Amino acid sequence: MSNVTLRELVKVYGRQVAVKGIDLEIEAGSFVAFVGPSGCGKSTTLRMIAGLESVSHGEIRIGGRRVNDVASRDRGIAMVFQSYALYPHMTVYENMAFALKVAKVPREEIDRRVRHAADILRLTDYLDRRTTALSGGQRQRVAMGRAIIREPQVFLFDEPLSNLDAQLRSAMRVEIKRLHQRLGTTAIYVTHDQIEAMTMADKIVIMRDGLIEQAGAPLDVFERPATQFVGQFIGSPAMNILAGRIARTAEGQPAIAILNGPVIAVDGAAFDLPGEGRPVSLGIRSEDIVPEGHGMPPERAHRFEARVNLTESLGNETLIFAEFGGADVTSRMQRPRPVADGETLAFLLNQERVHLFDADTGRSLRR
Amino acid sequence: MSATTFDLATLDFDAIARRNDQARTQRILLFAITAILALAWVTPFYYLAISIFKSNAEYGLGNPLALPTSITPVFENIAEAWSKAKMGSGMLNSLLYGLVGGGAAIFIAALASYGLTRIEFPGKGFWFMLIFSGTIFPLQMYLIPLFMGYNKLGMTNSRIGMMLFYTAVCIPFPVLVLRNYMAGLPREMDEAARIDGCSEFRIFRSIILPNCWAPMATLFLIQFTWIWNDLIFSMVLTSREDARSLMNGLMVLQGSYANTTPNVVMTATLLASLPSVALFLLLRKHFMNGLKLQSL
Repeated sequence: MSNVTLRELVKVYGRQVAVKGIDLEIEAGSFVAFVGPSGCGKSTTLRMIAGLESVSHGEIRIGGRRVNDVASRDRGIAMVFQSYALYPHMTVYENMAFALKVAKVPREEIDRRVRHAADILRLTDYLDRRTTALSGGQRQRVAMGRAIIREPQVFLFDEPLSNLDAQLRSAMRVEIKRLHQRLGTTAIYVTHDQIEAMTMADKIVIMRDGLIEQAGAPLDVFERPATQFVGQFIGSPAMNILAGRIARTAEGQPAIAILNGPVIAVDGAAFDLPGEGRPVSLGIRSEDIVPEGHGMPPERAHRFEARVNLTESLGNETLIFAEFGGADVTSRMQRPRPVADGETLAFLLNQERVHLFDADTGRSLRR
Repeated sequence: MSATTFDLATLDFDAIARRNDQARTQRILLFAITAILALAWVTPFYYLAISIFKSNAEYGLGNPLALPTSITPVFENIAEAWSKAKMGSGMLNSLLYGLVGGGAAIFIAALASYGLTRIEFPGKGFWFMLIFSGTIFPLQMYLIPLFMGYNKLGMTNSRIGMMLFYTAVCIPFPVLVLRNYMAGLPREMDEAARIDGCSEFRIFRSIILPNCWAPMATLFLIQFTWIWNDLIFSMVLTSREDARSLMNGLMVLQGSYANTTPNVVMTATLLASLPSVALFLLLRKHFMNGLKLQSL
């Protein structure tokens, strides 16, 4: 396993800049997920690391060695593609053995490694099958087998689960994670699915418009989003955002006056608050707006009543969409009871869980 | 199940019978028309099938559509056709031209298609259009300049010259088909092969070619048959027996100085068409797959 270093990485297509200068250190043996909306440059970055796209500016180092001008095959990487990219004219065995055959590895050694990989991935019974005769999950495992057999320094995954149905996807998530624990190889994983990123990675890199918005441990990114974009991108349903201005409560405490809404006190010590009257965005996750009587009431809560527009019942909980502060806010109801559209409910907004962002730059105001 | 409220007694059984009768008459009429068309189609084959079993005398005297009296004259007919038209050497030459010309053309077309779909180089569209233009103009256009050029180079009446011509003329159409087919093969497949350690040529040989067998077999069959059946270029570029193709050879059975009866001519044409029929049967699985094109 190797560490991977990206420095000032840029990719241009003609005049179009797809990746705008990325600096990132990926520790050896870690599992890093690149996540972001489509077109944010995450796949392009991965393809540059793989050597499938040239580097316009900057450098890539794998295990300390600069690889900008090194061919894909000599970079010590293996890649799993979204479409699996299996060779349809070969059997499962031949697919997995191909890279070693090209490298002229002795036949006994190939056989040993193929069987070992097949054993890990529970593919032993399918070795003689054509890949066209396999199910989606099995194909995905063959694609991973083809990658691990090369014993690479770095695994690259390009949205490997997006072609699978929801159930299989969560099963494969566990499988990839387990594989990573077992092999300990550095892994770089590209996805647009923040749940995959949250559950699998040691480190999440959130990208937007060709730049890194934030990089950090999953929980850290979730708890302390550096920007409003990250706050809304990570976590489902998306974080509620309410427009407001810096104000003071009647007691003189720092607070946010929500536009067309109440004044909510905030912890002045936790934030670098701009002057009074300046516009800010207040972010609050749906689980931090608790319908009264459902779940633990927060210690410092702002109580408000709101009209329910819509509900989504998920069985163990219900998502409630209600009107508050001129916006639609989402709340999570634990141990749900039936709620009618149009009903007015009381909610408790947890003031200690409030995020504040600069209204212009979107940057977090947290100290 | 809910009970039906429909009363069967109100049904007009006569009207239903009339409708059925009408449909039957229409079917009979259609059948009669198709039967006549089929007969018109089959008659020449029938004529061929009976004629090859007739001796020269029997053919000259009897009704041309009468059944033969014995099947043994076919051997004499084969022998006469074979020796007069020098079919042995003609067949070898045609086989050589078809296999080498068709095979080389399709291999070169596959290489070109790989380049056109997988490698970035300036003027890609122009080069493709240039090759593609080879399918637009009628081939007869090349006839005179080709003959003059070959004459100057001393390549008329040469097997190499014929193979070269057939190869060249058979490239453009396969490029058109294979380029489209290869463009449909997923790009990630060759990227995976590149990461697996393949050179550009290895990707072509081990990944792309094996996935193009079906269209390549189809194209080979089409081009082989064209070369096999070609008469005009063979007549213009060769006259001597050692380089002459089979179809050109058959020409000695026709014309004012030929004294061959139609039963022998027909035997010769049947013999001449057997190899391409055999090839079709051999490759028909690929041919059918090729017609479906792109099923990945």
